Amino acid sequence: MVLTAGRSDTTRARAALENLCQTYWPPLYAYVRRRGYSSEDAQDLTQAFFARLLERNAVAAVAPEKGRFRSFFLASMNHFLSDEWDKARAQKRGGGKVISLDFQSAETRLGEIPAENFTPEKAFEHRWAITLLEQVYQQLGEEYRAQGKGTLFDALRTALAGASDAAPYAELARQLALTEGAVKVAVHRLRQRYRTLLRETIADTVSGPDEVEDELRYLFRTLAGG
Amino acid sequence: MTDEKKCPHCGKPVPPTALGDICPECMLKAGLASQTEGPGGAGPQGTKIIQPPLTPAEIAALFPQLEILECLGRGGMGVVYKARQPRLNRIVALKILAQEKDQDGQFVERFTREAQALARLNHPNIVTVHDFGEAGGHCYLVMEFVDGLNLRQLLLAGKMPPDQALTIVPMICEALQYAHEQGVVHRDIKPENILLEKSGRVKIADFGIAKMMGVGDGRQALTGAKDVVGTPHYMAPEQLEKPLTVDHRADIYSLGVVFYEMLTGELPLGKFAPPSKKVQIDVRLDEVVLHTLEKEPARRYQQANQLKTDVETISGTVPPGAAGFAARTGAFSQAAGKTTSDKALLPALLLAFPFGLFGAHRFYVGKIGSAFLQLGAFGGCILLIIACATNAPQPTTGILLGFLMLGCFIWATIDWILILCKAFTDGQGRRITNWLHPQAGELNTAVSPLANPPSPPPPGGAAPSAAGPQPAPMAHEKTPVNGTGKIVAPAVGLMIAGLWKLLSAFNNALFLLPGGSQWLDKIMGEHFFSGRGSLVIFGIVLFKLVPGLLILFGGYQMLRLRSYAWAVAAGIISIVACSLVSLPIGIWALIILARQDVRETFARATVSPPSRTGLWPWLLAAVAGVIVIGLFCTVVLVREVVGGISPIGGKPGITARMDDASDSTTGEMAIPVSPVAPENAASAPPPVRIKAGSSRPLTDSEGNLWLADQGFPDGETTERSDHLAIANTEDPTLYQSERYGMTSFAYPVPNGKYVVKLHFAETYDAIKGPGGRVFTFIVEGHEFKDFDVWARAGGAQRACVETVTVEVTDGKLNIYFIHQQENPEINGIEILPAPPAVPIQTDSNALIVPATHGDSSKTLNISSQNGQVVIETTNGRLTTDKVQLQTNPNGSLNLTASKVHYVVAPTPPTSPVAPAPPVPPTPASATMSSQPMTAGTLSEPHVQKTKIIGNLLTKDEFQQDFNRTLPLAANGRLSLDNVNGRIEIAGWDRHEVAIKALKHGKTRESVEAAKIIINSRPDEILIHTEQPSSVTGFPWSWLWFKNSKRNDGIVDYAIQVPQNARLKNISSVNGHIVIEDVSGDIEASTVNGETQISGAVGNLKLSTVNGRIEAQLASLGRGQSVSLDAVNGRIEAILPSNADAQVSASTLNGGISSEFASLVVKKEFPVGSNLKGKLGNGGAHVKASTVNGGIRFRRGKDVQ
Repeated sequence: MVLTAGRSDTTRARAALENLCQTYWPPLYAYVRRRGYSSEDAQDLTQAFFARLLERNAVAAVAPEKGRFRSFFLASMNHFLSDEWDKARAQKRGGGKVISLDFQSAETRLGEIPAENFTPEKAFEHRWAITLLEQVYQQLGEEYRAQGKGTLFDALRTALAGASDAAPYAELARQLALTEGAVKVAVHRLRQRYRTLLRETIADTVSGPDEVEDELRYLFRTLAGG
Repeated sequence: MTDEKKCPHCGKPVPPTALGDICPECMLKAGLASQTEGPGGAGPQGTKIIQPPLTPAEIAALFPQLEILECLGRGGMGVVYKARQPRLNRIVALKILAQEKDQDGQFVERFTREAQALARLNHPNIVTVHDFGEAGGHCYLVMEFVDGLNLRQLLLAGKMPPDQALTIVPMICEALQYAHEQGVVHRDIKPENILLEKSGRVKIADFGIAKMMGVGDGRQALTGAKDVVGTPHYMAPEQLEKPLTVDHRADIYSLGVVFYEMLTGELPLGKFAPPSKKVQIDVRLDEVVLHTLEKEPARRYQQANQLKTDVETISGTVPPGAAGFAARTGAFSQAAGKTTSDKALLPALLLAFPFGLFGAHRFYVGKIGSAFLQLGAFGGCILLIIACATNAPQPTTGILLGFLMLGCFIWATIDWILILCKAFTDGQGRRITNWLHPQAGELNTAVSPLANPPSPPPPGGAAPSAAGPQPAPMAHEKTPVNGTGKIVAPAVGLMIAGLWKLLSAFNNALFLLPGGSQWLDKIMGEHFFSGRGSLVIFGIVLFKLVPGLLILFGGYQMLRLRSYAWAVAAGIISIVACSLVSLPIGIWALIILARQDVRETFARATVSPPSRTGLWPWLLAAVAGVIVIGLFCTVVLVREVVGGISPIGGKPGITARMDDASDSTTGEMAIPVSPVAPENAASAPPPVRIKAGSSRPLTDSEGNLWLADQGFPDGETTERSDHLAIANTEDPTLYQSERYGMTSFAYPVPNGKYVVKLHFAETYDAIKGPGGRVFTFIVEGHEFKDFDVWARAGGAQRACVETVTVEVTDGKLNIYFIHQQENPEINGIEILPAPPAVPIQTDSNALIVPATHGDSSKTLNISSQNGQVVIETTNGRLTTDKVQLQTNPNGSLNLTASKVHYVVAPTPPTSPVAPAPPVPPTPASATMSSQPMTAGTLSEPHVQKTKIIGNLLTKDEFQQDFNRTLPLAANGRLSLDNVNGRIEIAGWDRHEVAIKALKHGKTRESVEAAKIIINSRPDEILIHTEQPSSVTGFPWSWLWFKNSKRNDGIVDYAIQVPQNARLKNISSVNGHIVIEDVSGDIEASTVNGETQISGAVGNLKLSTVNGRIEAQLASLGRGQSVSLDAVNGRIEAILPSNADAQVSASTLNGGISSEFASLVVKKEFPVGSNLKGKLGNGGAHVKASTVNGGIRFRRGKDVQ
């Protein structure tokens, strides 16, 4: 996705970039908030930041070899905050290009994240990990629903967490009117697909396949370490 | 607050997310659990996650005709399995393309089309496509299985010897050439696609797959192919920019990248150095590699086989035969590195014909030896043609063959000359018809050392008539006739010329000694001979030795009246050899030999003795040939064994290497990664050097340091983006910091002072000009605003280092970059501990502080133990005993000094006069700005700072500074002699001469060769400049070796002398002389130059030819004498208004003008003008005269 976004001339790339921004803005918003900006300022900043990204097509220069997309976002935002904010404000927020971002829910969630011992960077990373999971979760759900297995997904979704044998298979089987074995297989498939999707999504944000596992572990530490 | 849910797995509260009640931590943990991988696991290259995770069972189901053995790996294009075709009992590679079938069938159509083209490719160096098709929605290819490694693995395993690269590249070229001829472009040449069989054969895989996949042609975004395939590093520029115009030349570029990587281990990114700068290889390869890497396709090699030929020529796989040798020699003057074998082919073809013809004729006339020689040369030509046509291997054999042939060629050519000489002027006045029909009477009289014993005279026929009117008995008389006396002198001359040649050959042979070629390099210019090695030098020796011997022998034959033909041949050879000695002698000898009486003398002398020629010349020739060839072989072999710079490569060791690695050829391979020197320890105390690719040389040919953007240690590169990159990825601390857009950088260092060097460079996307790359950065509070890399690097030099001294107090060195226009390219940051502030001690009583950059902060502590520190600025002078200077980025100058005495320097003559504001001595410290200093008067009129004028720096100009200070003689007399330079002399108050000279020229050699010679005598100093000569090397070499760049060395002087110095004998040719504020007497002359004297007080004697004199006198009065003379020049005299002088001026063909009322111009008939007049009381004498030039008297300002 990053790569697709990097190609500037097609509308498709534009869409990809917008999609990218839509997906990954909450961590940045969290970060900006943690940096001590008011929610209004943070909203403006995040908006302006993405507008600027779109305007300059800065992602174009991001090749997959470059490293983690997460770091790129953070760095760019840092940079943006240190220097560009005044300019961006003067330019009427990126020349009228405004992405609609649901700040309300972000704000709500932000309030829920334990604030103590949270540096802006940690908040960003924490939020990043969750956004990533949400992305995967949503995609997974869409996939299942597209195949008409929406109910199955809704029933099995809790099994995405925890150890594989911890899922309440019997209960699920009863719920879905399936055999326990069938549920086990379904859960296995779901997890399998989830892992694949997770890695694919992460692969989009890192430079090489060898970094996927690293990133995964890093994100896990981020979440676990709180 | 919502009611807090607890995760059933970990018990922690679940934060509100879009995941609902799923605990993200546990979800991620579940995701962390190892994923069941597809068959074979990740490939050796570890690629992106590939969409179709087909199980072996699925594969087997899809391909019942195949026995799937194992998964070989995954590439961006798909998964490759090793499989067996049971019926054929053949191992094949099955490639299942990652591309899934799209709805509209476009892909399938393209796939089919391309696969058919691929299946047609049948070449030993191309992986054959056996079959292709579609199964289960997956397109697949069944290909030849290559048992071996790919080039990437080989490169990772360690450094590749250049020999090996030189073996691999031609094979790739062959394959590419073949494919290109078939209209197939690979589009994705990279080391991963170049397979090396265990047998050593190279095979290119994935031909045209890139096109099939729609990769690399801009149509990237196909479903599932979002994993990028191929890295842009190997793509030709046009592939990225104008994908629609890509043709086969893109492959040549990609191959060039691979070639460069094979040779140097690095990718040619940014401003890359030629390979020979990085590894020891033949310098001619540079040109080949750079030619492949031309950005413009039109400037690249147009065909892969051109590249192949050049590489093979250099690696020595084509025997450099006689003509090849000639081509090599010719390459001195032309651009080297053209295809030798192609060049050799034509001469060989052209020569073969006459050799064959002559050989046949000689055979026909019964001259077996001569025929043998000619036919030998003919055979040599044929061999050379064959060698050229087949690119025969075995370099050493080839060279021997070539030289044998060369020997034949030379001797056969001599034979031609003899034959032709005899044919046209055979001494007996016979015609060519006689020669063509020997039965008409040639053989009995013609005596050639090369000829066999003469046949018995044919009965009757033309013999008597051929002998002409001379009676036969006369021929037997040994008495000297008229011609003899005339013959001796040119004959001796020829022998001397021959000896001279031999001496010269011997002299050149000295270069073959160890160290000789380095010496030669030094003389002829950098890398002139390196790489060409002994072969060329040997050729030069041979080309002198052989003619020398022939001239000597011919001269001897002439002296002894033995052979007219040899004499003529010697004359011709000595003309052809064309040296200063042999040319006139050769002409002289031929003129003498053409005389009738001389010919008659020869005729008499040569007819008489029965032929004694026999075989001995042959033996002589054979012995000489054996010696020559033996000598050559010894030299070549010795140099090859010693491993010198001989370009002749041995057999490459590729097979052995492959065997070494053969135990791990399939599946996952344990490849030892070449060790990278871990130079940058994370927490190491200073010095800290951060740089990329620390295992490689970092300076380029111009001495610029290049740090990043060309391959980081872990293989990551910044590639061709214009993003700022910090050159370190191994350091985890840095890694945390941002690598994109690089906005801030914090490096943990112990507190203290550091010198931070920031290396900037223009890289791939070039700075287009001034202002092309401007940005602002802050290093620990030192702000560099609007830093323009272009301007700072001095325009075309394209790289610069900015140094700043900082103090770290918080344990971190912080650097922030603020992009403005385009993102800058910083190539590295060096952090070095600041040198302690060592006070500069000086025992002289003055010290000049060099000017600093206005916007960098520098601190300089200066103290003098028992003297004063004098600080010169452009408009003032400070005297103190201790001073600390600090320039600030805003341009101001902070000066802390004790006991400051400040004197304002004189203003330029044109500026308004203001009263002198002498700064009162400051007791403790003073801070002042250097900018707003007020202009003052000449309170100490002799103080004047000089600068070098006309420092013309063009793109490829070198320069070198020269600084020297000499104590000046008591009477202050100084003589200067200068050629092509500029002399500036200004008043000074020290009793010494400070000579600052800037030597510059187009090449480094010309700069180094420009000499400044200083002779310090008791009463005067003589300074003389010598220009480098354009003629270097060997006596005869001016024809071929003229190096026009050598003689452009120019020296710009700036000389500081005491104000009262007396300057005499200052002369300059094509140069300027500028003398300011010297009150002593001045004598100066220029040719084609300009003399500018200002502020003169003493006597002047200035003259010029074709130049201009401008003399500005500060005062003119009693006893002074001013004499200005110009031929074809102009004189401008600026005299003070209150001057006191008798003035007379005259000109021929020129005008005189005067701004003084009392100086009246009179026209004189018929030509010229005169001026006579008086200023004041007329105490001084001013005389000016010019021929063909004008004189102008201008009114200067008053002097008190």
